[in-house]
Amino acid sequence: MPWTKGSGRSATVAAALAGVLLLAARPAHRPAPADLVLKNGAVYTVDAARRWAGAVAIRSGRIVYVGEEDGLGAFVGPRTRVVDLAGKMVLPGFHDSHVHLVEGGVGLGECYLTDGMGKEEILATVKKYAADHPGEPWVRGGGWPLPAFPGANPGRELLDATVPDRPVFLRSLYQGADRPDSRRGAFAPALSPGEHRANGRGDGLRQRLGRDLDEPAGGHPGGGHPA
Amino acid sequence: MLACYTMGGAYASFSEGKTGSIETGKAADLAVLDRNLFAVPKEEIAKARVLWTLLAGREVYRDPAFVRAEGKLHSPG
Repeated sequence: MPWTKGSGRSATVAAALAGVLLLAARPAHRPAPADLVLKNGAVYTVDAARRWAGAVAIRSGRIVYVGEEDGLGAFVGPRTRVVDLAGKMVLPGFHDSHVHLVEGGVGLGECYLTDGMGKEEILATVKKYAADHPGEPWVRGGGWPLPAFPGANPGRELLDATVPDRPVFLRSLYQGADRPDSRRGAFAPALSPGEHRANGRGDGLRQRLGRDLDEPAGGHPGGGHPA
Repeated sequence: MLACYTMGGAYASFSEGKTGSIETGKAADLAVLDRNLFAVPKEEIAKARVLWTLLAGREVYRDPAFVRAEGKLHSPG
């Protein structure tokens, strides 16, 4: 390469090259403005390298700046929307990597029981649901916590007394993921008239051990297989 | 706990390179809470409210109270 032969020449080239590099480097110091800037926040990054920040800039759906407010600089342009959080906390969005979306939605439309409910609240909820849905041939639902009843079983008598005119089928809180024909399920839903003959014991429990113990299909908005 | 529900969830769904933490280059998946969970007594954590959520920079949820607050505080430029 010819310009490497004379030292004066190469110095000139080096200077020119440095100028070009400076010009090329300028855009890095003057980034395109962001679409949205959050400032004056308590930004908890969950990034070990920088646990806290005060400001975040977003462009085209991506984070382009995380740091202190005085570093925002050119990220704030004339069309940038700036939100002053006044000390509010910013977190990364939460991820639920294990969700039963369809079944959860179906459950909301049934007799909806949930964790933290005690025996009386469960029975009152079931009773009210039955009264509110006189046309449903089965009272179906679930979500009851096992510890709410002795032996994790509401029992046939209790359910019969709560809903005397129809069968009741209530999955426990831990049954959400099991299919009716699953052989893995060890938890028992509670049953009342018409179905407790299925286990031959008449105790209201129905172990999910095989296809012959499928959930009832009648009256279910999604057919026999929620989710 | 927070790491579990953010980076942990992202890792479990093979997306820790794209989301799960607030880092340059990642998707703008953010939640704004009404209080700093590290600055309040632990009994108060359960009372925290989500004011605003963004998925890839787009608003998914906004608390009505935050609409008012943000309207006042909004200052372009």
